[in-house]
Amino acid sequence: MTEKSIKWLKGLLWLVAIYHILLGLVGIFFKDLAASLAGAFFNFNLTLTPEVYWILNPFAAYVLIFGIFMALAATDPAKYKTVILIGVGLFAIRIIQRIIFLLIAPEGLVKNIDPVRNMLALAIVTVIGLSIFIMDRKLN
Amino acid sequence: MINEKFIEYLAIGYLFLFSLYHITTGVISIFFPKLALKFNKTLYGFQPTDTIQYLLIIRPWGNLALVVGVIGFIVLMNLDVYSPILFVFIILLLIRVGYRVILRNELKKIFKITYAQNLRAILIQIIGIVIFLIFSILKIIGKH
Repeated sequence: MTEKSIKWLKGLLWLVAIYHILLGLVGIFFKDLAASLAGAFFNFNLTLTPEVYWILNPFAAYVLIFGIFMALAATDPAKYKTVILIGVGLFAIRIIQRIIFLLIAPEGLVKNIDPVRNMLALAIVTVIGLSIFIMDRKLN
Repeated sequence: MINEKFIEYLAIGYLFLFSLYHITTGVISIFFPKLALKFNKTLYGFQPTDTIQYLLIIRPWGNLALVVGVIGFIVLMNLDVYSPILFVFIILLLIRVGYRVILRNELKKIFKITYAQNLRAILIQIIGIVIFLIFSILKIIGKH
């Protein structure tokens, strides 16, 4: 694998890491923002009831931790090749779930029903996931 | 003097249970979210009334729990190479202890989780933090 490809892989991993770390921190420390972010990034129409407010804590903690996994992998992609593959697996599950959610979830629970925007979001996640997967397979 | 081998066995044992727990809760949350409600009620005394929103969050949460569990088993298979990941698990456990301590009154009020149930979960997590931390420190000292 060329030096340039490794830089690209590291860049993508850092992008995924920063995104998840920020999302996790917002979920833990700025919950009022978390509801709108859940709408923007997961299409969930969350209402911040006291229960949801609390449940966001463990959820956000795991989002943050996933970001830290990806940051760790970005420091040495060859060493953390398997961790990167698991991360790609998460992307795949998320894409499938999002499609199912958009198809079968009750209307009131879906935040954004604009199909173009949803397709675009899915395409971006797919491209990032596939790029990381292809580059990860090329690592020695 | 700390018995290094003993600490290593403790770390392996805890990591095995930690990973198994995450895989189990992850799979249940993704594929059987309603069963996850019962699972969490049995394990933590967690009784949400707003189940629609809870079921909405539990799937993506389950995905991430599954990732943590699978990575845990990867670490178990090669503890020498992947031991830095234990620090990530320590951070996760610290956050979980943190909100359980800070929001203990809310937990009791909102989900009817008793202080004893909360304390039990906190203790289990603190034990993990201590074991992983001692093990990691011993590993670092051993390398130098």
